[in-house]
Amino acid sequence: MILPSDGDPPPRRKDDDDQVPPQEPENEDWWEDDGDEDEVQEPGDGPPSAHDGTVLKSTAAPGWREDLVRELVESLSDLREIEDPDDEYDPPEPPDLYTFFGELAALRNEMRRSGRRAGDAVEKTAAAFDSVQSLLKTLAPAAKKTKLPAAEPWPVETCLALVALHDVLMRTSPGNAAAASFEPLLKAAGMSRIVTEGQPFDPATMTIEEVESGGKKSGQSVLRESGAGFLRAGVLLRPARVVVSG
Amino acid sequence: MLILCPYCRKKVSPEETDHCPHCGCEVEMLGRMIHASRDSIKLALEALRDGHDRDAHDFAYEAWGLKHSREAAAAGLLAAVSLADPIEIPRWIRRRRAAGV
Repeated sequence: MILPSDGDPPPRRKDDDDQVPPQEPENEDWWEDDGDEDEVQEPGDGPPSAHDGTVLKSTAAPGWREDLVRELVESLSDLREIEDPDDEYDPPEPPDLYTFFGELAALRNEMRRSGRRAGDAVEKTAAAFDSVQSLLKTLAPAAKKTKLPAAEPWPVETCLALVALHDVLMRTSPGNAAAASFEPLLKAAGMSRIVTEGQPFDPATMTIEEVESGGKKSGQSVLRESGAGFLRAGVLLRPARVVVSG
Repeated sequence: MLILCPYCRKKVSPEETDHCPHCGCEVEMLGRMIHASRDSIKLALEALRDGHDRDAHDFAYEAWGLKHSREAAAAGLLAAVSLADPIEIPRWIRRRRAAGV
């Protein structure tokens, strides 16, 4: 064990480090490269040591702390670019082509099936109305020949059902032919259609659906009919919906 | 190779039929996409073997774009590791997790 002697400098305490910061070496020429690194040093040419009585100089280049701090900051900024796989952040991932085309194929298949179902429904509806029209045609001559002596009108429920049937028939095959084929049945039921077009507006048998301005006709006259109205035994069953001139 | 029909979710072999025998949905194109994705994965692995890491990454990303599969994600992760890309590595890890469900 080597004991301290009187010639040794006092031991450095922790407080001393805070009070006296290490100094940069003053002699920067000491760091200049003389290009003789491989040269064999002579015993007297070595760095000065404490035993020689000179101050021990740092072996680091001047400004090394600033360089170290700058490199550390740059390294930390590089770390920010690295994503953590466990993070909640999830960049939007575009769907793959397989999924996209699968959805497209399923949608096309669904549309094709819907179209096929709609076509079947239309065909069935058309067949049903063909049968209704043929029935009306067969009934029409018989209704003309039959002289019903002041026949009783049909019940209101039946008349309303006929009105609904008339509306469906007009929607599927609009035209005078379908309406004319329905007339005998209306007569047999004791019903009559309200005449509207070209007539003055009658609030007792008509309801205004729309008013069009700019017409030459004076007053409120019916321009066209949007929904047929019916009388049953001279009593209003359903008012006609009309468009009148303003 | 069997895939699930995108409409009725039943197993179909796109190599044997162009349309699903159960619902009529077209499946031929889906089979072609799976084949193309597998080809891209093979190209990625060959590029990795030859040391072309950037090409391998591109092929893996192409395969991933065609179909999100664990194989494509694994090839992409290998390529990203070979490239030492700090951004793509966690992304491929996430993709592999997502494809593993």
